[in-house]
Amino acid sequence: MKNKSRFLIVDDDDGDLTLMRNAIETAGFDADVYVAKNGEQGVEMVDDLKPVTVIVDTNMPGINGFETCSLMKSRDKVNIQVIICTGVVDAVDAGKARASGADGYCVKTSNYEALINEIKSMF
Amino acid sequence: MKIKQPRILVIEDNKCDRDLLLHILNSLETECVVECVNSGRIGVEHLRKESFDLVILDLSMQKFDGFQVLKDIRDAKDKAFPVLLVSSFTNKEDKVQGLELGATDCINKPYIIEEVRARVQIQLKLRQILKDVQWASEKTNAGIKMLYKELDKKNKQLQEFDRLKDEFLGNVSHELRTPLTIIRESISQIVDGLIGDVPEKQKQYLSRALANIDRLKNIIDNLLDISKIEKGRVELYKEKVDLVALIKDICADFQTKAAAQNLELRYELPEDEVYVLIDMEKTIQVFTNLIGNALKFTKKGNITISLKEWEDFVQCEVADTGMGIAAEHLPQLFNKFKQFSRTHSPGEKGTGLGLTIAKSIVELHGGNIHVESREGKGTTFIFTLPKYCQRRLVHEENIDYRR
Ligand SMILES: Nc1ncnc2c1ncn2[C@@H]1O[C@H](COP(=O)(O)OP(=O)(O)O)[C@@H](O)[C@H]1O
Ligand SMILES: [Mg+2]
Repeated sequence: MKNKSRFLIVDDDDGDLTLMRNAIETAGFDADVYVAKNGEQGVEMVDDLKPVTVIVDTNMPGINGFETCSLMKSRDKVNIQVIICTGVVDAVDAGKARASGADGYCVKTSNYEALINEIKSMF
Repeated sequence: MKIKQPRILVIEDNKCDRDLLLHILNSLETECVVECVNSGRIGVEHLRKESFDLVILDLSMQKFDGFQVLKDIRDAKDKAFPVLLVSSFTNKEDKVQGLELGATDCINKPYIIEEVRARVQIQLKLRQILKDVQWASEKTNAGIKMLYKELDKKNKQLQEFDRLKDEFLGNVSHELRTPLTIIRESISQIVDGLIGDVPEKQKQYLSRALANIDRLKNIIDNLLDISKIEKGRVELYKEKVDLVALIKDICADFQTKAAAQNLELRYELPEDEVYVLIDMEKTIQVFTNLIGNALKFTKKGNITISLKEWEDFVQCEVADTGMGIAAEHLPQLFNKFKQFSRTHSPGEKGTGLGLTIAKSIVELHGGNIHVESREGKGTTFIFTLPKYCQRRLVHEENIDYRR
């Protein structure tokens, strides 16, 4: 049986989680989408799930998106792409995303068009 | 996932030097992909096709002029990569020339291994930093572009909502007007005793009802006016009018009200007639709105209406000594539904449409309106109207005012 690829979304906002999940599912990726509500949980889930793509929000209670990203990158050295998805675009944040090892950085818009573009550009 | 290792291109025709360099590069802190070529031509070709993060170029090759190779690789697609020159540099000027031609750094032969390692490592770090900065700026730009797009979309949506709202208001106002007219007529007939005798007390109450119906009608009329103006459905019926006489008439209508408020309503007008080409009803509306406001927002002092003649237009002013308007509110003053001051009499709340209508009417006449105001000192509205002249009339007859 062919394994579906796995997406993991880490965001503390329920609304954003649902919307991102919908956007990814309707964009037609052949993937199962999992969600985590904070950075710590996200990092743990990376270990178990071994997802292909992880989408991380920047501002979350507990560890923030950049820390989450570097933790994930240091745990899982094989097959993980991290996209940092944020409500505010900012060159300094983009630099932080890069420094934390992120593969993508994009802005949250109402239809998550930027996120979908970013995911597509990675495959 | 492919981990992006830095790619290094070595252009060196001496096998010993090449092997030593390869050995050093393979022992770097950063894992790299190294490609070696032994000719300048092949090196240049490689660079045209692929991108590298560092080029190490031997300046003193047997068959190739190292400087020419340096020039050629600087024409490559991605010019940002650093170039390290290696040579014995017996001729000291070669270093300077190399750097001037765009080399990043130089390393002397014979190699000191630690030095080579350090210099290469520095170049790779700088290159990585540059790439990261580029990445961040590209992502930021893309994000900003996205946000603009989103803003634009939201803006269009808002405009559409605004249009729907205006349409709705226009329709509702229209529907309200007919029943209101009937109510007014009926009550008016009762008050006038046409239906039968009415006790004084009842008459009093009914009169109050009538006054409020008139206010309501006024508001609805304003809404309808705005709606028509916005749809571009306003026609001006222009005629030759003596503005001096018109202003005197308008003032006469307001004298009682001004006197009741202990305000002096006066005018400063030219002695002779001043003929303007205007839609009289609509122009009266402009004066009525401005004088009405002046009375509403002035507690003591006076209201002065003046008229000045210019070559082909006239300038009217409605000045008061009232509460004035705060500077921060001035930019929005003529916008729909904007109201900034509390009036002293609660019965005169208004709709915030008077100035919007006045502005539109003035502009439909080809004039303009502006305001000068100081808080606590008073307010002056200044607007222009076209003068009547034979030439203009001939010209204007061909114009369709319906826009
Ligand atoms: N002569 C004036 N003095 C002070 N404020 C004024 C004057 N005329 C207009 N304004 C301000 O501009 C607002 C908009 O005026 P207008 O469009 O005529 O609406 P309305 O009279 O129904 O409030 C008023 O509510 C008031 O705040
Ligand atoms: Mg008014």
